[in-house]
Amino acid sequence: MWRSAHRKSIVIEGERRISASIAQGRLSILGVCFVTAYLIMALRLLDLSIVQTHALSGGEEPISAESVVVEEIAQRRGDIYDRNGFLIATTIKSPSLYVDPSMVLNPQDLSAKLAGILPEMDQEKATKAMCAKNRFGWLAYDITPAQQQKILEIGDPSLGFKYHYRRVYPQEELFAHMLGHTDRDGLGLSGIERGFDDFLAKGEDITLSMDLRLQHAVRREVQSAIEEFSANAGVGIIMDARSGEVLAGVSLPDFDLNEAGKASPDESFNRMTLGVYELGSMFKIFSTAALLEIRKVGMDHTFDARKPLKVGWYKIDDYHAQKRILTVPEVFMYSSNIGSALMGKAVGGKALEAFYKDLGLLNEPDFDIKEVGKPIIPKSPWREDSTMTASYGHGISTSPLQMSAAVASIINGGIAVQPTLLIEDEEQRRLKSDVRVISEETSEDIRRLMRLVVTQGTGKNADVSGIAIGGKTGTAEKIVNGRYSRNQLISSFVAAFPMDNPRYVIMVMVDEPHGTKKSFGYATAGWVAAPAIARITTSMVSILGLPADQYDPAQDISLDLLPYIQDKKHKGKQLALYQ
Amino acid sequence: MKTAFLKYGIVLTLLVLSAVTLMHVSQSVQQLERDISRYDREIDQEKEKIRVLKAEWAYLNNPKRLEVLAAGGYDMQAPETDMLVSDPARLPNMFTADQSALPSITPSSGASPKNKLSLHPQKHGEKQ
Repeated sequence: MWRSAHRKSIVIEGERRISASIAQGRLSILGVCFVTAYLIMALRLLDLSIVQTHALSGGEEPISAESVVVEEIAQRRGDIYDRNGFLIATTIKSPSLYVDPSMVLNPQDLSAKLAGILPEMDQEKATKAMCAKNRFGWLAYDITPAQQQKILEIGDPSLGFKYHYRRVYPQEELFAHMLGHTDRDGLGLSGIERGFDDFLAKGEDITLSMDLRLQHAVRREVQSAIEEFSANAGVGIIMDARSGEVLAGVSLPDFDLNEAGKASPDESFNRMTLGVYELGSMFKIFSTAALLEIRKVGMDHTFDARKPLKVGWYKIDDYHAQKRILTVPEVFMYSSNIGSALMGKAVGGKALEAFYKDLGLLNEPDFDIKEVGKPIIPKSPWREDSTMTASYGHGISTSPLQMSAAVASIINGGIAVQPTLLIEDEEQRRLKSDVRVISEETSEDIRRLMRLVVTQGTGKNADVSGIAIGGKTGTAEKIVNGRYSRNQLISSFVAAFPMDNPRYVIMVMVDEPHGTKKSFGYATAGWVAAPAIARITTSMVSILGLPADQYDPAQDISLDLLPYIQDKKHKGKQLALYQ
Repeated sequence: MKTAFLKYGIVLTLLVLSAVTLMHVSQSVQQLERDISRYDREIDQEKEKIRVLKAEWAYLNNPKRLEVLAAGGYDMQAPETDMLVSDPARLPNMFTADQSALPSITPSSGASPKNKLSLHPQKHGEKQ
């Protein structure tokens, strides 16, 4: 019994002991937990109060645009560069100022402070916006970084900025029509911005074939020609004769791309690619090339230009009338309409139409911008009268771009040129079509003829010493109320140099020039457009560093044509009259 | 009892140590993350500033503006058509030649055409 009782007590004692040790263990675990927890808290406290004070408070940073949260905005539009990497269009984050009227304390005071910073802001409107019963109102769009900093320094909590991407054109009006512009949401509305909208919207950059410096030189000279001859408008183009890359393309009047919304329809109209004009005698380049290429005649072939031609109800007359039988070079250098009409007749309507089509003169050109004009051409098949007028550029309207490309195709050795605004590498150039429009020999003949125009003919004013420049004038009467107007002209000149192996095609067109004292009252191409060509060429030589010592007048290619030209030695006549 | 105390002691120390280490690691990770996002933000801001500066630079280099500056500050202008020099060797040496004998190079200065730097090979008859 005792034994059992003892045993029992032992058991009890043992149980007690076990439970006591369990309790003790639990207590100590709890204790450890508490200690750990307090330790963590202590550490965290230490951490927050000492270690991270700087990072959390952020109070030491100065107030600046950086501390303002920038709203997440869409993909940035790609930049556009000229062929030498000069920036001509970019996108920057631009802040616009808004107000939360519920937080404004003193509207008059605040708007007065803002008016001191933002001179363009309407103070009354701003006060009104601050008194409104809503929680948001715009105060100013697209403010400058300096203005933003000053506004931040006011430190008013009711003011805030919202950011959006703004397209910026640092060259202002220089590339107006080729580059084009976007709307406020960044959608391309014209020019390259429209033609490559998808590409740019993806954030891809574009390098144009255009050269900023040449663009400026062309714009300057066309502008001064417009001013000098009080003309309405003008166009200037420089094109690479082989690749068709447009190095400069100007349509005047133009407008500042940063304020494209303010442009008048007249300013925003792209005369270089969208406008189509009767460019007149420049077409003699093509009709003469067709004659030499298709009819295989020599330079000694003659045309009777003694009397005006009557075709149906229409009379074809010469502006620089010679009133005699002319050889091919004479027809070309005196720009004889009669001679050219006869050349067209000799080629034949079907062949001439096909030839013009090969040169891309009868269709809308495939170009990098979408503003491309459709040429106005005689109804196919060409009858005799339309063939004859088309030979000297009447009754056929093309854009200056098409004209330059067609001339490039003729003079570069005869390979059709596809005009482009994008810079191309050798590979792309090789992959391009190499459609031959005329033979090498005909191309050389035309180059001789174009050089002759400058050395002896209607284009003397385009000559630049040291450079073998060649070209062709084109003076066309504008059609006003369905009739050709005698005193509203389009005077243009297309040139190329160096003429023995042309690299550049230059074209200048001036719309409705008026004669001046200096030009003896003449408003024709030789007086208006040719001098502009000469000045553009001079600028090109100095900008591009072209050699001016490669030309030897004794080796001039046009000298071969002199035997076909009647001069004063034979007939007592002045060689190459202007009028 | 002694071993148990020792055991608990070791466990406790390890626990505290690991807690401290964990805390330290987590804090430094957080700090680094904050740094990264700050640097990223700063890089973006710098890039944005560079874009603005590039646009401004392009604007300042606008040829229209440069032309005005060149005309005003250095009396420079676009070349005239008769100012191309075919042979640079025939230019007078600007450093040794008598300054008064130099031809005028500004067409606006009223110099006669003969005086201008229009060294066409034909005109001077040196190059045949």
